[in-house]
Amino acid sequence: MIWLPEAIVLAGALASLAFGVLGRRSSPRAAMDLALVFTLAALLATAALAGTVVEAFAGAFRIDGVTLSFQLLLLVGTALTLLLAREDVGAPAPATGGAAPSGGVPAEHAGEYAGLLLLAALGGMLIAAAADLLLLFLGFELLSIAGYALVGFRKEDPLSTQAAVKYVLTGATATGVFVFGLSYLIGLTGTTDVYAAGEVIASPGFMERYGRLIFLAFLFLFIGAAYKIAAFPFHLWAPDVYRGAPTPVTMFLAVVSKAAGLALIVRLYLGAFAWTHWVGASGLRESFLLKSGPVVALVSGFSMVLGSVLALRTRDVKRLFAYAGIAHAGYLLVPLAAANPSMLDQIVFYLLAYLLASAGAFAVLRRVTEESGTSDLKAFAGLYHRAPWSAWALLLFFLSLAGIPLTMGFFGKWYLLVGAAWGGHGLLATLIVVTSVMSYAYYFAVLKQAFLRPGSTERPIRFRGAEVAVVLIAAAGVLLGGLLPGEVLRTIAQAFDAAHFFGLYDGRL
Amino acid sequence: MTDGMLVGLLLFGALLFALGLYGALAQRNAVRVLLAVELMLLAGGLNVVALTRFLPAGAENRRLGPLPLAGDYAAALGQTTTLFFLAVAAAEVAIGLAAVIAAYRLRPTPNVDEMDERE
Repeated sequence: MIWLPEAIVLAGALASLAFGVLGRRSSPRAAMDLALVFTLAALLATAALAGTVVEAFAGAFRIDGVTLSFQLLLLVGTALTLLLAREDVGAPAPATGGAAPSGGVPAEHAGEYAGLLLLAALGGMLIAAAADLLLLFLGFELLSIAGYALVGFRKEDPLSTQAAVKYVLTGATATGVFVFGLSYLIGLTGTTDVYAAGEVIASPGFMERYGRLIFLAFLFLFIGAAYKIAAFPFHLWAPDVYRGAPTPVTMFLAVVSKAAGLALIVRLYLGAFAWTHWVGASGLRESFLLKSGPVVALVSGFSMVLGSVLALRTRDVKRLFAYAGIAHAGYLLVPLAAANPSMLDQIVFYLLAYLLASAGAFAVLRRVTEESGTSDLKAFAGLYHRAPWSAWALLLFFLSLAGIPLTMGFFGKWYLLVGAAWGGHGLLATLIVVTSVMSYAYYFAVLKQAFLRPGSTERPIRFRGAEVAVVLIAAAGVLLGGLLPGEVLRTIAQAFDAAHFFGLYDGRL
Repeated sequence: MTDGMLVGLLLFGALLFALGLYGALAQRNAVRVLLAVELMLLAGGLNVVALTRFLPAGAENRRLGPLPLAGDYAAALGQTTTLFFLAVAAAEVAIGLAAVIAAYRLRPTPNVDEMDERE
């Protein structure tokens, strides 16, 4: 019998919602712990499924290498988020009239906080497991709608509610664009199955007749999905939303949403569109991959450059993470632009490196912003004197995010570079190097404050237990991935074989 | 049942979408943006219904094989899909209005650009 990870997460979401209503008021954090237990159980269930390829519900639901590797990333991200969010419950409300970057969530809402986080994670997992356009769309919406509620979770804080409004309005617009693309794809192919749609598109004579509309559908779907990973055309929401949301939610958006958005793009792009060939108007054989490659490369390049340039100018650390996240979204699209045989392994490895380093940095950020009541760069001043070990941990995470050798992030970027060169995208490879150098500048601006500037106080910072746990897990992961990158990559490639994804597809063509 | 009708419907859908996108990007009032988004979603629904009604291209389902009433199957699929779009649009607008009201309570303006924080 298969224990479906999605079912466990759904049960966890319902259980924590019910617990929030019925549970004892005296132990508000128990709802968080309950959610965490379910997430860890789902994590075990996912790991136990490694190597399986199963289809269910007439092919709408599909477990394969891509599904499992992305679900593993989503669940690790969710577990780390829940650990951080646990500290939000019952934490003191911000003193400065509510407009602080961090602060508590009332104890009576702990169940909803945990339940919404798990529902959003479930949306992401459905995206990873869906092989049906409608199920993909529903997963996308579940993730989005739970996300809107989470961003505006602190109702008394104007920053939080304004961030929610902006997130909803941009998100709804992106949904409109996505639905419009989806309507052409479903209407022209007459099926909602991703792979069947791919077959119809690849059938002889189809692209000659409807090629333009299909390409239009791809453009709309890609741009609509780019919103979820905060890539170029839909990136403007990120800074305000990251700043206004409670810090654990910011981390969830930065890490889990981004992974889910990539799963969406991967499944749609590689499942339905990418492998189509047809005879063009000039009588030459054309390939969709060659036509769509420049579009993906354009989005990727613009995201990298815009994110890095804007990050250089900001003085708010949460906004800095948003801009850096836009650049990271650009990096993550490089393997898809420079299509090469191991692109999925590159994406998953880079996502893992990004996830771990970001989670650790957000844990430090959460404590520092709550201590100082601001997320300005100045909040980090004198961190080395107030909590030396956390400053060293921050150094490790930023080195990894910036891609300095001997950290996991370096190898992630290295694989991306190799992949870009392999796919013949010299320009993208150059952009990766240039924007990485720019990222040294903005990451080191924070480190300069932490190590070299004197703070306004020397009072030691006491980290909470869960924050320490997140920092330790993240640091261990970053070091392990940096010391044994080959082992990690091999584990990803073997246990969660991306070839399953193509094997079945190729057999059908 | 003519090609001209399909083209007309698709053009109307595209126009509706363009109108919605313009509204979503240009309007300052949050409620108007939500209305504009509704237009975009409806344009998608109209496209699906029109295309599946007139173009039963991929009616041969991979799982079920060739269907006896392939055209009807495609049309039914399109109409069901539209219902999905409508339901999701309703959910999205509901949470959008909830967010707008929550923000309005703290700072009474419906205009998105006046909600900006002063840093």
